Amino acid sequence: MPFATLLCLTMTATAATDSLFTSSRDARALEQAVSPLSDEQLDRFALGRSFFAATWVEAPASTTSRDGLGPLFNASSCIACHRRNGGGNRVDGARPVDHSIVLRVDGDARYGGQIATRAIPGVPREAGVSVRTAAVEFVYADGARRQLIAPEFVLEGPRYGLPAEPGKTYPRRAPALTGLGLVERIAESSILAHADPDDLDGDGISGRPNIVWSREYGGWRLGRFGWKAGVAGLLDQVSRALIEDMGLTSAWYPRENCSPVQSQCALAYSSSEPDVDAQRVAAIAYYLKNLKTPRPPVPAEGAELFARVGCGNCHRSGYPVGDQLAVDPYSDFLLHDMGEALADGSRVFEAGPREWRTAPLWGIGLARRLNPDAGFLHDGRAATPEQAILWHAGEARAARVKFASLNAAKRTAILQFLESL
Amino acid sequence: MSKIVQSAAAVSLVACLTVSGPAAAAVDGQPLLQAYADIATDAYGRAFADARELQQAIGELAADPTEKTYAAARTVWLAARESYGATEIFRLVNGPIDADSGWVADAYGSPEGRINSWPLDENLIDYTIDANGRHTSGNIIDTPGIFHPGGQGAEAVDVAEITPAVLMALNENGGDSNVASGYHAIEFLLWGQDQDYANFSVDAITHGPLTAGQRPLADFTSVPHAQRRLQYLQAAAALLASDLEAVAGAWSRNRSGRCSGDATGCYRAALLGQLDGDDREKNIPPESALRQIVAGMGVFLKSELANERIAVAVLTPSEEDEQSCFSDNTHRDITRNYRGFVNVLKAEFDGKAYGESLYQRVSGDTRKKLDRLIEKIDARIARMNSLAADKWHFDYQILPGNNDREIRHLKNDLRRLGDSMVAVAGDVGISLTAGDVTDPGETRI
Repeated sequence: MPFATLLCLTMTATAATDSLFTSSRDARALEQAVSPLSDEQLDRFALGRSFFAATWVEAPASTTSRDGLGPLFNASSCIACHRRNGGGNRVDGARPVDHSIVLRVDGDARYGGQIATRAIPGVPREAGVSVRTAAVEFVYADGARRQLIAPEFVLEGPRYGLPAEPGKTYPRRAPALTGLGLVERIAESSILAHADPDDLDGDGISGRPNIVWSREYGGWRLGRFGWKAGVAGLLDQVSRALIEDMGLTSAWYPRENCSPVQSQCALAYSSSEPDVDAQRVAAIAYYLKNLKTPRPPVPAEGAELFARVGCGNCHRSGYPVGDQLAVDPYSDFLLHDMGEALADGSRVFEAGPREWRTAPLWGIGLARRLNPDAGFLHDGRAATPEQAILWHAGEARAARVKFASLNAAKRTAILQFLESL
Repeated sequence: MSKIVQSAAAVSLVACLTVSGPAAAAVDGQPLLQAYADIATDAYGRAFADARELQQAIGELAADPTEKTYAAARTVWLAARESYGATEIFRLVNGPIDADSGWVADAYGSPEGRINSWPLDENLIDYTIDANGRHTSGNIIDTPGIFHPGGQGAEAVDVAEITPAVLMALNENGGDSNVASGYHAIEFLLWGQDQDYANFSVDAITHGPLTAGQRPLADFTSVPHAQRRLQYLQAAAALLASDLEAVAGAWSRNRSGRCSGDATGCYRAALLGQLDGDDREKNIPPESALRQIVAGMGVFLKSELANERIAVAVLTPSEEDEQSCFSDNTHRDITRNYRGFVNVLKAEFDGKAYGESLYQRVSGDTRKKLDRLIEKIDARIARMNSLAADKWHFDYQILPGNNDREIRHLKNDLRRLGDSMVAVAGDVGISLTAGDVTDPGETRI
């Protein structure tokens, strides 16, 4: 006999917001469109998705709307590094460094902003990248041990000699593309409310906003995106990724990414038109902005411990972004000194050599479902969220010490909470 | 069966969900599945037979390349697209054509990527004419030795002799656009390019609104590598036929009971719950089979046909984002894909009734909505076809001011028809949400 149960649930203002979020845990969780989208909106979304997924080829090619790759590049599509819209790989010292981790050499006269590990035929690549790793052991208060690795990235066969400051190469792993549209919707004031640059409240945590130059806004704005909060808007970010990662020109970056010493690069074919026109750049940003954000249906029980240990002081949640809607990125989008071991010396606008933006944690539990080789932290040195926690120092030291003093069951509860996000 | 009752207060909703169970008892899916399987069996059977014809015609072209055998091969290719187009509705349901994983993928190899991949970077296969009017080089045809595909993680392949195995090794080697096999690789070899490259971000077309690619017969007779071009065509046609043979085999009626040895007919038997013994667990529960089918119909119509195949082309507008850009046959791809959908909805194929249909089971309201949409889409598709015959091929129709508005409306109506599968599902007793008929992305990664 079939049976029927009648369930009546009272929902307050959740129906409208469900369309922005997904509780899916499968490998396609980060690829869904928010709803509802009108036909025109869906068109832009579909167009953006198409170019986000496109494999670009060198120009001139018969696929004229998808050519212009290089001359110098790191990857030939967005999804090559943002697999299933997730983030880049971990490094383990055994396998070659994946292209989802790039080495930056900001402002180097011969290499430009980033080491291009690949190039079109007839143009030499700038260098290869390899990694040496040193084992580091972490011991919990209860005696449990964890093996970590500290990576050192090395340039292989740098074509134009060593960069001016050979020590100053900064590895950057492709971040997961989670909740980007919602991050844009958070009011500056909500973020600045948590800033405490001089640690006036004496809790050992500063929190400095990065104020960055934005082409998108035509002025100085609060940086929200990137490992050092160096980017204010998604159009800014998409345009930069196109030119720096794939060698694709667009309105704001109309010139190929060849430095003055790179003669073969300069001689390579270059179209007078941008490789990616403004409509397509905007469509890609629109696509990224309108992806659903993961949200667990019920917070796991480790949530309370996560807060009690102090993780939530920087990995903040509960930002209002509109009528009766609050979002939980688990970030304050501010810069923090994260200690010597993670410091790599790079400066990005206001961000100092030891400072990093609090990484948002929403979707972190999906990372390894989307990409079995997913890494954590800016250079992919952590293979698990737990390893990432153990690298926390500087302003995050107190919270890490508290975490490390918990018993195994409680640590597991916190890690399970992260996996539920 | 679910109902949402909205109370007078705007912010607070009371949702009453009726949860039925055991679910299988509620829906009699068997007759629907039977009709679906019969259509699939016949549709793939036809597609396979046409692929064999194509292989034959290409064999004749290779044996004696004349204008006559060349034209015949193209005609047969166009006919083969008609039958394949109507099978695509069977995609995206974890079936033999493109299952992601599991025993179906293992048994049949999910050959869709080898059969119908596009857009393709034709530079990989053969020469194209560059911006300066010169032939490009460094492709599979002009490299009788070790070939290095461009792109991500590409691996070198020995192409001294072009065989089906070589094309398998080349396909998508180095990225999605490195398409070396399937209908569209064959299409490029039979037609050649249909665009010029004077402008690298906006495609201008020189051949005219009613002219497809114009590859000269000399490419198969007198020029260098003519023989390799014919060898390529034969290998691609053989691979296409053998891939379709595997899929058609999965749907074969000749199987019952066990599923050991070869996998002929196993998928069909599993869908119809006919396997027993150790293979019983492969049987697909009727309700989940039906749910997958109805959701897959919506996803195919919206995400694949409306978005990937029409929206991107008309919005860009770019002929290289139309599916059959060399032969200018895209209007038929759209027509036949849509026809496949209607076939399954109404349980018909080739003008014949195939038993009980989803369409027969829907409520009067849903049927009215379906009828209205189908009528509109039929009219738009008829106009697109008549324009393609005497005014503009699809690549000209999508240009602003030509037929682009109509094509946009067609795309929007197809999305609505895809969305309507939620109501269809509800009427036949399975629950689907709008999210279920909205695929996150067709892109394989």
